[in-house]
Amino acid sequence: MKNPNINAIFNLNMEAVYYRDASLGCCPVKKYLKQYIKNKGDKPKEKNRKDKVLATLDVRIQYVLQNNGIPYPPLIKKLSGYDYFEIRSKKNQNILIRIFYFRYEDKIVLLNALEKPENYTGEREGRKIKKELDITQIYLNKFKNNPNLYEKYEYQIS
Amino acid sequence: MKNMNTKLVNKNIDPMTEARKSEKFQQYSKDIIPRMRLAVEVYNSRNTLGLSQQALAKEINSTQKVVSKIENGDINLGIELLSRFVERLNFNSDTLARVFNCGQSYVFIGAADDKKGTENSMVYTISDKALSSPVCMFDETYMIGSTTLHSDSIVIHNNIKSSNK
Repeated sequence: MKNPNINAIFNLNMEAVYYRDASLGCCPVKKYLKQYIKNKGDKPKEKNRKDKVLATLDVRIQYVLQNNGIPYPPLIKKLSGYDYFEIRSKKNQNILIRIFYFRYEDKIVLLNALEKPENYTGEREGRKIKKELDITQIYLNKFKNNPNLYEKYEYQIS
Repeated sequence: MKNMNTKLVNKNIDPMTEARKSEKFQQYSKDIIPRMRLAVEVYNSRNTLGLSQQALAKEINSTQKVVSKIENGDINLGIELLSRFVERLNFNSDTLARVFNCGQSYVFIGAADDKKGTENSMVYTISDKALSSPVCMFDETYMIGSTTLHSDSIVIHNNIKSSNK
């Protein structure tokens, strides 16, 4: 798949939204991101770290929007066995943040997020990740059944 | 202090909206974009040349891990390594202009199917057909802000009109 010109101006025909799960009473991705809200007691280094993580994710989400949700590699990947795609971003040397999304009509629906250790060993971690991937698929199906289950992702054109 | 954050978390605020208020956040966002553009260009060029990450790494005296990190937009690379990528992957001025978002000077040859906008912000739509059969030359040279490729046309967004014939 030929990648389009990333330098294109943001063509925001689509909008990004957080999937809202009725039974949880919250948006899983938003809930995940809230750990990066700066605390007034945070040291400057910690504040910078949080800004950096969120900025990286935000730029990648805007990249997805710019490409109308199409999972162009290498930054976006399709997951085999599931109907959604993933945005990958490093949190630090050992942890990878994965945000799962799918495209529904004119929306990029941010379904779920998880942190994956880079080099995990053992079945326990693998099972945990598989469980989250399965839950994400359930979120996707729920959204398809009720496309009003979302909250707006506020973005800005940079 | 902790309570204050708890209050924020409990409110239904968007963490991104909060973060955007920070200057550091804005700066980081700007810094990340060239890295992402480079990731895409390296990935595309490597695949066009039919090279594996391992093979490319060997040729530029680096490691597969570094190539992988660059293609994921995870690291900044120094000028020496960047030069090796540029040379091996045959990057041209177009590629570098896309990565660093620099304007380029173009003379348009062909007929625009559509031209709209203001003097300093013009969008031309040029179809493949028009590009392959030069009919006339535009009487303007523009600094190009960016181009958007579509299946049957190229839209050119120019920023600065640099000269008139």
